[in-house]
Amino acid sequence: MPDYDVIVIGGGINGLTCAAYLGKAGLKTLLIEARGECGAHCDTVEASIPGYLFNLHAVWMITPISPAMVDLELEKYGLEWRTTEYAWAKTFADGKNMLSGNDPFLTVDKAGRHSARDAKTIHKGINFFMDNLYEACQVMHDYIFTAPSQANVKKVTDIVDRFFRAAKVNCSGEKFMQMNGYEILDILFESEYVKTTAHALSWIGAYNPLQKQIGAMGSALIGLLLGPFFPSVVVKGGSHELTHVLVQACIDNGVTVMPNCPVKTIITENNRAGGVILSDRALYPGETITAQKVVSNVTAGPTFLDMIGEDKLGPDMTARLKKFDYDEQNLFTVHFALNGQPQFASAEYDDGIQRAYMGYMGGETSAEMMRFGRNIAPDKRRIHDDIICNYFITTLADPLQAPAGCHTTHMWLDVPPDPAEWKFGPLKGFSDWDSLKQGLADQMTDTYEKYAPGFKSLIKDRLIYTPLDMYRNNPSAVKGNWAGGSLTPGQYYENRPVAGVITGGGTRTFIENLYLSNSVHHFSNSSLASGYIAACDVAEDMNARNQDWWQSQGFHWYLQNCSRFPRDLGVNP
Amino acid sequence: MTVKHVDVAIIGAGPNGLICGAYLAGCGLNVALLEARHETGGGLETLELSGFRYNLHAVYHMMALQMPCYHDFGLDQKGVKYVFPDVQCAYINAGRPPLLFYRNGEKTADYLARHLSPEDSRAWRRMHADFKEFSEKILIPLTYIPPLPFVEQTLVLDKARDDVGRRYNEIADLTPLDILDAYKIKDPLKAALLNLFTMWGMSPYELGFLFPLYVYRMTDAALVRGGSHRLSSALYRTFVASGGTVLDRAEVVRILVEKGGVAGVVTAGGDEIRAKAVVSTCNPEQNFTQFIDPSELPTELVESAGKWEWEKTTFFGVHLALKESPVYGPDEDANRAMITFFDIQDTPRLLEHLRSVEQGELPEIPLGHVTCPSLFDPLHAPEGLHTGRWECLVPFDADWETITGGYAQTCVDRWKSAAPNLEPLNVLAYPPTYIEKKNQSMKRGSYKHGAYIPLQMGYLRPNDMCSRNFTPVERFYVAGASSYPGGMILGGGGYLAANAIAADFGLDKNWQEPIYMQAARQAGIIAD
Repeated sequence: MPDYDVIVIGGGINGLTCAAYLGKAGLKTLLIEARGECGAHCDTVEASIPGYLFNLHAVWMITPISPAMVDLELEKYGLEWRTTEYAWAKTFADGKNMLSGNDPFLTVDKAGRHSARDAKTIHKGINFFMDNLYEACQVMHDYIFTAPSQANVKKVTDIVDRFFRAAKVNCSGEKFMQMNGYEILDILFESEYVKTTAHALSWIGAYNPLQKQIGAMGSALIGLLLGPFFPSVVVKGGSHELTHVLVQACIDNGVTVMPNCPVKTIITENNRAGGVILSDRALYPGETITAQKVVSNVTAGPTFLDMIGEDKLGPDMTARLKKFDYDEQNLFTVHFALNGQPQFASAEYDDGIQRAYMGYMGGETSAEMMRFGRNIAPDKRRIHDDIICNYFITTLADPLQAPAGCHTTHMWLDVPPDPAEWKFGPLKGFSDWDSLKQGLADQMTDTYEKYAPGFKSLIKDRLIYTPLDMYRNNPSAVKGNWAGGSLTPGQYYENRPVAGVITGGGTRTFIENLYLSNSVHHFSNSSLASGYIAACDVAEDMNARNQDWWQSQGFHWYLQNCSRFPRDLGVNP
Repeated sequence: MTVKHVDVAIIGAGPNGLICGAYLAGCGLNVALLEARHETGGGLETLELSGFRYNLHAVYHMMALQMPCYHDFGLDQKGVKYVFPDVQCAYINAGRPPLLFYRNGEKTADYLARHLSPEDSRAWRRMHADFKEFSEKILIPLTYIPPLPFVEQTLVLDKARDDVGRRYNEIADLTPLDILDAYKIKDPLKAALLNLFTMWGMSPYELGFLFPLYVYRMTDAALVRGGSHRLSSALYRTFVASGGTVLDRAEVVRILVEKGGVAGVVTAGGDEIRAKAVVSTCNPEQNFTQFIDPSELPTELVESAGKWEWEKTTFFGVHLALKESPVYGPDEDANRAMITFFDIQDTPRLLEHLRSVEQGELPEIPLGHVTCPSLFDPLHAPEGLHTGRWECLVPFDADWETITGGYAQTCVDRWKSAAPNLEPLNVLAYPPTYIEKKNQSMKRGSYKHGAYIPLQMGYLRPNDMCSRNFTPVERFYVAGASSYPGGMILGGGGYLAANAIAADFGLDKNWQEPIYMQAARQAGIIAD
């Protein structure tokens, strides 16, 4: 008799989601986590002045679209969402800005200040999605929360195609799926303010606008739908609260949660997984734990190459997995503790920017955004000369994350994980992050000051978080890659992680009884999709899928509840 | 604004609050634990950042296996694993061989004989044997039973069947300095041992009755694998699994008293938690001058609470991410000590240092103690890297906002002068103002919730009106570090309060007292 029905390796939010579903479905489930705390990408730390909470990675969350909101009753454990009037902002050097509202008609108004034509296109888009809301939801649910398939792609293609026809856009669904982000936005919009605002948003979702299909999906779909149809929210109390909630859901549903237990080996025999052996570093060193099914929430590289081993994989599969790529852009982050709210220069143009908890600075034109993207791409690996980056002021949405009247802000700069050069000379790559971080952070601080004069005088403390820190924090994030491996056409959707790994559909791998809840779904982020699909697959294979409570549909909870999410709680009067 | 009804509301989810809650919830009571911060654990805080684990507050655990809850809750199976490093303390002093204290007192005696002198070795052996006996037979059992007034306790010990009581009484009245002299301990050993006591902000001239416990336990201390927060995490899970409710970000601002008895608490958000009993792990100033309307309390209690004394010194911490573990010299054992001290070999100089810090002077040359937990627990740092922790006594009153960065550098430089290979990848400074900001009970950085001075110790902690966890307000109990037996992660306050409440409510206790306690009863150390 194996010790457990299922072992989930890795207590990130997808591993926790998978485990909680399986526990609730009555399976004896063990979740093991290498770190002390679960939720590596959802860390919230009080690492600086007490009262200031820094979300080290995830902060913009899309979890409200997840069926888990209802199935696992996440609100019961205290999960609450916060946002601002504007879901997304971009501030420009010429003093103007562009804003996306949580109210879609605000976006129309704001785009109208830049281009009447673009406002009209957005308006048509909103009308189309409102008219076809529940159908669009079904399409998006299938695309995100079921196993990747050509049928799902076709549904997206069709609905995009119908939108183009309804809005009289000179494009087709088929063409859309072959385009990158720049190409589609050149067709949709004329204003550089509008276009770069969407490109920037695509970057932040790890959807490199330069990539075919990936860029079009990111730039056009997320760009158009953010806010009213697609969440732009933060977790009340910090992203780590989501981890707390999922851990509680696990415990409540009978899952055993074991932190401090890095895994050394996934036991396989005759190409079948049957358990794990803990590492010598673990709290229970070298212990063997058996199970009927193993789910790995560790990314594909270490799951197969380290925990299963080349000898068991064979030369062909080893070669394929060694090519699994973590080289696309990654994040260099600078967190600030502030004693006031930054005042953007462009607030004179439109003070709505003061009510947007996330936005982007720099990258004035599509051409500049494109140059930036090409510089940091794996074939060049150059840290772009000018700072073009995201910023968040989380405390505008959730004042609990800083002392009263104070704020936190952080900047996310997309960088090559293995930088070869920057404007100050050549670099040695990944190991250079410790030495170059102060200089780069200074440059970013200066950039913030440029767009928000007086910013520097608000700074009480600063914390830098590099791709190398991300890797040290969580070695599953190879090269600090936070998307579970690069999103490139060869590693996208049905090809993910790389062709040949997923053989049983969804999350079932070529090793029997081994499932992946990481590196499988291109669109996981914080939707919990990878964990959800893995749970569906395991439960189905163990005849436990049929549950009364397990039938809610993605997006529904969000659409029904988003209007009640509190806004602007931390905006200073 | 909600109203909630529970059996017991506990204020503060530090170790004592969690322990008390877990015992009571385990008896079937409906318990709510209210915590002002976003995380539970209080001083059991481990920051996990870039794979490095920084124990921002408590790190050395003196009573790891002695705490009754460790066994009662099966914490061993809940992820609480202690490491007891073989070399417990190393004193690195210029111009001398390092002074090492092993977990095994005999091994220390051998070391002293080889590196110091045969007389020092003999004196240590005699003192250590006594201190071990005093601790195991008397001080540890007494930590986990309600205290008697000092005079009564002395009489009990005098009459005990085991003569250890009388032998202990002979030194219990002396000062730590006098005790060291009585055992003929001389410098540098004397300064080193005195420091194991004074490093916790206690006076070399008072509280000699605790001195044996500190010397014995500080040379048999442990680190928690994965970081100190693992202990609070396991306590939290025990509490929740027993049906307890944790309310975080729930700062209590008022304790409701009706008809002389406690009725519940009110949070800063205006929520009301009605309760049959309330337990506070906060300090007396909070309990009796802020939370409860003074008109509901005896005047003497309000006055006494207003005069509560904070510790005269507090800690300045520096947390480092390191490329290598520090190397102090060729002696391998000296490089693998749990705690390392620098330049403490001369008692008059140590006394002068303590005096100046107590008087509010910021030391130009801080006397730090450091630890590198990743030497003993690989979970504390990414593979191949290390975590370092520095702590030193400082006064609370200084312009920390301005000087913190510079003072952290002074501390790192001091450490580096003893370990030239020290190469920080990251430096996190932790001034005493952070202690107070995070834990309101630790006013002025008073990490033990109030000074350890004779008038605030033992039966008198926090005062004679609130001794043994009871207060003049019916069904309002105190359980924090400001109650007996104090702070330092002894797990005593929460345990004793749970026992007191279980007796008051006539609960069927599902735990038994530790074996060492039964032995102490048989020996007549604990009064029948």
